Amino acid sequence: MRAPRVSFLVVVAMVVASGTGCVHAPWNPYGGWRVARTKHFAMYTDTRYIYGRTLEPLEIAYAALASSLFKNTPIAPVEVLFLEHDKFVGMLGHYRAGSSHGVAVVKLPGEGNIGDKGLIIVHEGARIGTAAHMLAHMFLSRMAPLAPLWVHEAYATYVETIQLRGSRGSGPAVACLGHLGAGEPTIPLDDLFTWSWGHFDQSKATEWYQTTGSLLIDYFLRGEDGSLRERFALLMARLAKGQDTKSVLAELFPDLPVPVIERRMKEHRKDSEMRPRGLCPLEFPVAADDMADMGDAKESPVPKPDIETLFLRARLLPRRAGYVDFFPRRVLSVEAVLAK
Amino acid sequence: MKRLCARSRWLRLALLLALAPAACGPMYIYGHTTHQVLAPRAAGCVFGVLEAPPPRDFDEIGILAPEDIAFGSTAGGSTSFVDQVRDQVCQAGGDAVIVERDWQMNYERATVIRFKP
Repeated sequence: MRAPRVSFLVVVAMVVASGTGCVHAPWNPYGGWRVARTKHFAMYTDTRYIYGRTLEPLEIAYAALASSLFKNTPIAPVEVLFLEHDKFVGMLGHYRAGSSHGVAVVKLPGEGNIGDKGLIIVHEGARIGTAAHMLAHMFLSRMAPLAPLWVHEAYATYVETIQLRGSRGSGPAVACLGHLGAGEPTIPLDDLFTWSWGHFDQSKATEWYQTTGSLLIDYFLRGEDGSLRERFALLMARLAKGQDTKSVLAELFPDLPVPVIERRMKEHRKDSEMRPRGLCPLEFPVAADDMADMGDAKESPVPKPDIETLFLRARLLPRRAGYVDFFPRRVLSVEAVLAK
Repeated sequence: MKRLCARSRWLRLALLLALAPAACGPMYIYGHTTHQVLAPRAAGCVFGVLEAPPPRDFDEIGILAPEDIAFGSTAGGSTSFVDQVRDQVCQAGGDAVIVERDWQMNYERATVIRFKP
């Protein structure tokens, strides 16, 4: 028997090479997807069981937030795209996969049947802190669409330590807030109030930015023996209307210029480290309607074109290799993305 | 000797297969972001590559983005990038693209625009 000629082998090899070399995804990546529905979520997934471990903290975080800071702002059902870690990395980069474990998108670019009222994208590493952070962005976007970026990140980071107690029948269910998170460094308040979304992304200091915002919220809520709370509520109401932070601060806190707030905020943090706050510093009862749905999700198939469109639109997001975990509606415009 | 030749053929084949993934260049996908349906421009059309939004009025008609960002699928040089997206830009009827680059200065995304008359 004659051996195949070299040229034939080379041709076969090249055909195989060209085929394998340009396959960027497994065959049929958009087939076989399902939506898993609970009381508050519609989670799109191609996994069998592992999505449940992320759906549960999302339900708990929803119940806790809907009972505390975001009462009377129903946003259910929240749409969630659940990706396994490697797919998440391909979609949104290594940093987000390792740090924030998810992103919150107010509106995907283009149009489609999924994600038009917002979308959370997470992988299996997301736990209750991530779930609360992402959901806070979604609640705030509905409640105060004009709120500045720092308010978003401040609230979203502040609620990362939220807990739901008594949700499994061990007493009345309550949401607990008011613990400070990890002791990251802070940035100047002038930066916090002025950075654009693009600047925030490129700063390489996203966690410091978030910590500073969260600390400022805590100072306004708990600092100076709680005497700032009323004016803080007015501040938030004005910022929700899109007013400028520094102008409103100067008007509502004439006795506290920004450098003084910054100094006292840092003192408040130092002081807080010395005084344990107890198990539940700020307690909010959970109404029966808001309780977390811990039952089995109901699964149904999703048409392949819907998933294909969903992936295409998610890939059109800006700064996919970047650091931000929140995509407000305004970044649908390239001018906002590139704004200094 | 015959055996040596056969081995060499298999080695060549193995080498080609090993090089296959490297042959795969970046791949950009295109998505419409507007209801406007524009007439396509001629194949091989010339379009502008802008690093910032231009002073002229324009409409954003679509976005070009890498399919996968984690494994080196963004183009590094402008010639390579333009060649890769030319068909999509011309087919979409775009006059120019506004590019966004990542920290390695690779082309991470581009917004296809049409100038207003």
